[in-house]
Amino acid sequence: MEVLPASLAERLRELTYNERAVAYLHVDAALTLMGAGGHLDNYGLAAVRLGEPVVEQVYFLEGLLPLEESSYFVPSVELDSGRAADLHFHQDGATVWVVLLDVTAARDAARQMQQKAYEMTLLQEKEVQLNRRLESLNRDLEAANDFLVTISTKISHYLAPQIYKSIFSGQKDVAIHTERKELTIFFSDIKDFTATTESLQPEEMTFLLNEYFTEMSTIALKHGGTVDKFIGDALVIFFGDPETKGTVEDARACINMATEMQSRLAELNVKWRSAGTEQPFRVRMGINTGFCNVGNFGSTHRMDYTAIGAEVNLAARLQSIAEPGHIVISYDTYVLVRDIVAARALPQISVKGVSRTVVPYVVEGVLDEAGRKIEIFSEHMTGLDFYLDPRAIDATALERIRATLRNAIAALETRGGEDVPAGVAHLDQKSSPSKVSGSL
Amino acid sequence: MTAVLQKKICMLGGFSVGKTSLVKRYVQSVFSETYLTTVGVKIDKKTVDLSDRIVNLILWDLAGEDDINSLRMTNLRGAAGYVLVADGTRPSTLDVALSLHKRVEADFGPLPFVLLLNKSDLKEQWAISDIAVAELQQKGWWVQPSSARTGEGVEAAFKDLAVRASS
Repeated sequence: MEVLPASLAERLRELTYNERAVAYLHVDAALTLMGAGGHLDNYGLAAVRLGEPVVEQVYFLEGLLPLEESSYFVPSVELDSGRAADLHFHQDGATVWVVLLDVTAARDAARQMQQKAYEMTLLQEKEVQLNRRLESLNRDLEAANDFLVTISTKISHYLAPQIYKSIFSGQKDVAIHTERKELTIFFSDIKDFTATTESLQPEEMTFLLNEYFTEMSTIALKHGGTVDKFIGDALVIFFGDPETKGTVEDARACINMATEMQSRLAELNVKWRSAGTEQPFRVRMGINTGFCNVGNFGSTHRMDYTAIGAEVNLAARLQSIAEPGHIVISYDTYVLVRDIVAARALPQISVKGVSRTVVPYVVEGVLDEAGRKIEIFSEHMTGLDFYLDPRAIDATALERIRATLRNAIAALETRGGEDVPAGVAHLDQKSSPSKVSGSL
Repeated sequence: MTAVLQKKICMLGGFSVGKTSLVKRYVQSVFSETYLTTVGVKIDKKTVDLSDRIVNLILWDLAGEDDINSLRMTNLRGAAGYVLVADGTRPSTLDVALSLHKRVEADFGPLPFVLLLNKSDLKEQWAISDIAVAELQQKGWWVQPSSARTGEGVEAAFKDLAVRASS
């Protein structure tokens, strides 16, 4: 080691002694305190007693003596006095010197740095933890949301789409509440449904009915109708709530829906017959327009979104007097749709709860844009599926169809009829196939 | 006259798990909300009366283990036991405690120790599973929740350690 000039060495010794508050303990092999000196009071050690065991007096030495090697160092030890010291142990023969150097200032500076670093790290840890908790909450929320979506999708099948939409969008409150509104109400019923389907297995019957309802509901939705309910094989639809395009447009939409339903039914009957169903579905339809109460009826536990009132009953009644395959409408509906349908008045009826006399009209056909009546022919029975919409026939096929029809009539004439008196054996061409205008 | 024994006990654990607060609660029966990090080591003494003997516990409250400060193993020289401390609201500190245990065991062999899962008063933020605790207890570890704020588990842990370190 380079030897410092004497005056410098002395200055350094002075500096260290005072600035670092040097203190020392001298311990013998029996761990007795042989000597002590320097700034002992700086470390709370002013009262140490020489000649007595050191570890009992200077308890921080517990476990450290005797030394295992020639020198040993414990940095930055905070003592009872509050001062921090580096402890240097130095073996000297059989004795040990313990030197204390004050490092309080350095310790405080280091603490400041460390404190900042730790606080930062703790904040980061907290952020990570919070993020995790948020993510987990989000996952829970998503799961709950998915569950709700699944449930609400399931529930939606029990409700008319418009009702579902207006409830789930928050437009409509789910509470017992009704409004008086002018609606066009549609009733339909399958003639002799039980007899028609009695030869079928329950599963086949269910399948047939579900297909029928699905097809009819699709048409209803297309025209903006609210499918109110299915009652057995009957179907109730209304126009004017929760969405309305005005009384006239609602009534026209209802008529267009009904004619399309009859038309679609003709196609379905052909399909079902080829699938083995003997009896075709023949559907009566009734339509009325009038003021009804519409909204939620029932109890707070179980509600039904529906329309009630004498005008609803009237629609049901009109349906009951309709011939199978026909649409019967009230005068109140007729005045709203007379520019698009051709209809014939039937004998007037009276309905309980409706004070006026009711003149029913049977729809005979639709009118084209020029106001000309278009006849559509439809007849379905055992041995016959007949549906003719002249508008839909391709011009190139006209001659072939005429020939088929002539041959068909010829075949019917040759067959004659055992139960038909001679002389009237010719088929009445005016009534068969009938102009089943209801089946437009 | 009852014999007076003196035993060095080290406080070991990650930073900010509450080692200093546990010592303060045990020695001075106080708790401070202010976090003050320990640099180096702070040494305290606590006398425990075990009826047949009196033990002076010399508590070496060592700076917390972290990325910057890793434990100076030489500070454990002469220790008769140690207190492992983890923060029950920060699962990573349990890993630190377990790793410290391994390192101490490797250097000094098996010494009496207790594991305190500190900050048990922060129940809503608790993040250490009962299963993890049960697994350690299964190994024969002395593991208890503790709170320097309420004093829960503190006295018992040091007393148990004093008994084992002085027998």
